[in-house]
Amino acid sequence: MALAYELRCRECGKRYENAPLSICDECFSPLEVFVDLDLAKGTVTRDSIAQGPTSMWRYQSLLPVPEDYVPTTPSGWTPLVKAPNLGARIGASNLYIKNDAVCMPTLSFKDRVVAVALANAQAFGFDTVGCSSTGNLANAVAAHAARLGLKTYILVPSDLEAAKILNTEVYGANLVRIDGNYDHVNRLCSQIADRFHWGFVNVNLRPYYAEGSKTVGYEIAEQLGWRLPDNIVCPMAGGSLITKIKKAFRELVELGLVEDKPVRFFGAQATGCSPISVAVKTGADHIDPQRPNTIARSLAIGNPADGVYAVRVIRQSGGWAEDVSDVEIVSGIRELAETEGIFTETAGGVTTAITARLYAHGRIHPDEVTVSCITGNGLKTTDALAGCFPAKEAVRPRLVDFEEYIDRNQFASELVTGRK
Amino acid sequence: MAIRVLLPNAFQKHTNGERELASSAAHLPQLIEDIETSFPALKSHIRGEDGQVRRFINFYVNEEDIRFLGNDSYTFKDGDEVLVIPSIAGAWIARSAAVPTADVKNVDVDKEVMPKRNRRRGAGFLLWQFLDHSELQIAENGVTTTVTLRAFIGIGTAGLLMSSVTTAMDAKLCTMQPHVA
Repeated sequence: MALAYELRCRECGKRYENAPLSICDECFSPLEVFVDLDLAKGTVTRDSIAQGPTSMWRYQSLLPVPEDYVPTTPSGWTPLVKAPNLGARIGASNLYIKNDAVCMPTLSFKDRVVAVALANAQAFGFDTVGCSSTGNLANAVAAHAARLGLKTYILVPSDLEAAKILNTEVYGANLVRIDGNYDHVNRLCSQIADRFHWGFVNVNLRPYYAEGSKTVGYEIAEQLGWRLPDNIVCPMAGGSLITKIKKAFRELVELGLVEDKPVRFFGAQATGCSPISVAVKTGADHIDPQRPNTIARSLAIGNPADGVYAVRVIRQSGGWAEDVSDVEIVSGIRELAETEGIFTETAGGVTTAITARLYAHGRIHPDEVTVSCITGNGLKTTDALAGCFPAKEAVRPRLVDFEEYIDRNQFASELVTGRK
Repeated sequence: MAIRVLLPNAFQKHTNGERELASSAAHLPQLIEDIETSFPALKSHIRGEDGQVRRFINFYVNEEDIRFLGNDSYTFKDGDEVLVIPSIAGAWIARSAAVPTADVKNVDVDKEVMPKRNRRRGAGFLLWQFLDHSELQIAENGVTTTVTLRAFIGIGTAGLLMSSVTTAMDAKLCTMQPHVA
């Protein structure tokens, strides 16, 4: 556990003991976990971390979980891979992919936040947990809760991808489809959390939940050889992840684990739901909510909870935000798969397309160490690729038929060996 | 005329535990005054030092964000249910701002839009794709121009040429806005 942590209001600074609480009762602003790093100095070292498990729990000392908490699921510690092939296409020579498409157990970075949230749900005595979700969070809550023996109520927008619904129900979760978009669902969950004694990971447990995202930042720094990158490209839905990667880097600097250096943060959204990107581009210091209309449903949050903080991180770091069309999202998915063998969901298509655009526009120099954060797996959003790959005809199992097939489809020039 | 107002848990410390309020307010500013009159202890918490309603407090009318309904200019109707919810985190609200709605024309990915031959053009491909918006409004010096970027498809497959075009357009592309409904 973190040696000492508590809740504090992000605006007025009022301090709270640890509790399932996300809103300050004085100024109605959001609460955040404050970890006392002074107590961690000296005890948390590169060596102590290296001796930990090969999961996000190697950073347990920096996470807000109870002292006696024993993790049950090895989430996190996903690959950070160099991306030379994608880099060659888009003009990047030092590009890395942080691949949370293979985060365990449900193939998205949400496994990290849920792991921390449910550790606290148990500590607070909840026997029922839940969330509002665009899909990935639903999968993660359902799976982690099953392993911990907790009951679940998971609320999702009714138009969610079939795979994400199936990947929630299979764990025995009580899934409730709500006739509305994510913002409607989230609002309803706020009321439910007020009324029932349930632990909603992204409502009354949100301050703890959000801290789980820090592990993405810790891992990037450690996997780069305990150094910070020059740039982070990060998808934005609620806007929390980008702020927590920044927080993780700051903590590592404060603990003396990495050398301080400027890191620029770049945010990625779909044009069909781009409230944070619009705020960055227009210089606004507020978020104007939007009605989402994009295939990137996992990013389709029209009224992003941490939007204003994401804008602040981007602006203060000298970064930028971009948004791309649905066509570009599909292109991004295919480009990443074809070049680096990583199949990401629509959110990853957004991040990939925007990474390429940032290089094309000269916002990122080709030689700078840049990490593109892929947060979910393509197997969950195969609908987005519907029609891209028409069904192929079946070929009779004879060589002559295969040769005819090749000729007919004009693949002959691609054959490596000559045919007689 | 009566509307039903549902208050969040976070307010209850200042409302003696009351969760609801019946109001006859005609519009949002009147409703806020009504809430403050009914629960005087709330007043100093609802408003910041500048006297404005704190930015984290959101109002919804019958499931719809009041900002989508005209905000202060929306006239409550008999039987409206108003939900008051603080943002879980910080959606900083410009209460007088118009609400833009993203309504970008989505183009199906088919062979016409994304011909296979272009998918093998290396760097040129992605750059070309970036310009494949049907229409974009570019605001510059107060003048809003609608540009049809599809016109650039013809040169999209020439990677080097495309790079220079993209760079030249960079300043304008940075100001791209989604269509405003």
